[in-house]
Amino acid sequence: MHEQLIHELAAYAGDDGLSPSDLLGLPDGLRRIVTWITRRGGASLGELASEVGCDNLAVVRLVETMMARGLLSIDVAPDGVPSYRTRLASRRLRNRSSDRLRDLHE
Amino acid sequence: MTTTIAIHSFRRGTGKSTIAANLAVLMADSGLRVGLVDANLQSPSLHLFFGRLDLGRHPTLNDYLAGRCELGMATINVTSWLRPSPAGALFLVPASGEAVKILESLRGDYRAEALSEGINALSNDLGLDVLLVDTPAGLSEETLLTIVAADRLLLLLRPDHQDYHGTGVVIELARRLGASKLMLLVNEVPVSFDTGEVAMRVETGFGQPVVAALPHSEELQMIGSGGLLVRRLPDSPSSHILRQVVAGLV
Repeated sequence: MHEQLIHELAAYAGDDGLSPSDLLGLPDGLRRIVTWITRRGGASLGELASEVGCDNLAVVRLVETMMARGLLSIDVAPDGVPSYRTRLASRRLRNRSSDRLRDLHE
Repeated sequence: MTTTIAIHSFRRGTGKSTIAANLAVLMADSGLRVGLVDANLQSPSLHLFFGRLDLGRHPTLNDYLAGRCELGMATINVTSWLRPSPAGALFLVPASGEAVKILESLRGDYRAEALSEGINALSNDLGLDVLLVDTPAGLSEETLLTIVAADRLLLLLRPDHQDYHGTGVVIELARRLGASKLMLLVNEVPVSFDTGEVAMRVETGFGQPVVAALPHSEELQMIGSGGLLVRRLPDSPSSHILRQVVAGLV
């Protein structure tokens, strides 16, 4: 799955967050991992490495790329452990939702 | 660990809120701690089933989403409102019936993830076993996010071509969003139809389990949103079927 995500991220042009309908338009691998993180509310580096099937160094590079592409944001708990969450879009994208949903059907 | 069940339909008028309210009461009867969220901000009704026509100044889900209160403040413990009292507990998060707040929700001046964040926190704070979310019919950003976040999705439909088409659309999107436990409930089956055959056809057609096919009920129509079928007519055929649904859901 790791290789697939790297390829999909290379072709992904976004950088400012996702609306829930944007999730539907992501390529398969990214959609799977981002909906997995969304469902959990967040994931640690170790959990992501296990889910993606790669080592810690590779997962660090992966989440850095996903953050740069606006797919993830980081939360640091009081104990200092980072958790990565889906970066959901602001209202600007919300206002496009009707068109996006219609586009998906057409 | 709370099991979150989103109750949804593509079209309006499928009886979603009626089913949600009655299932929540039956789950509380079985000893569970149950949360029931009225996320249908454009057409709120769940409080009506519990005999409250007017919520007065009590905070609602609308106030939480607008940042005016915590979700816990908008939550009402309705366990003592039920006669007989359930073995478990039932907590209602109502939506506002005030026109100005319904209009405010239409503008959507809140973060899409606010609802899922709030219900996660509420589930932990109240130690809920099950949380039912009554979503608005059709598709919206909030509904899609609720589908992503829910552990199970219960889709209601009537035996009607437009319902079949719309339900197919929702199933396709839910699958793409990774919804793993998807169930169907066919409501308002005409009394001249064989409910077993309807259930089998729907299950075969969509490739998803049908938890029940409820025949049209005059009794349910008479009660409407003015009360709870499972309390007013606990021995009715529909009440029996809903108990079977609960046994399969929890």
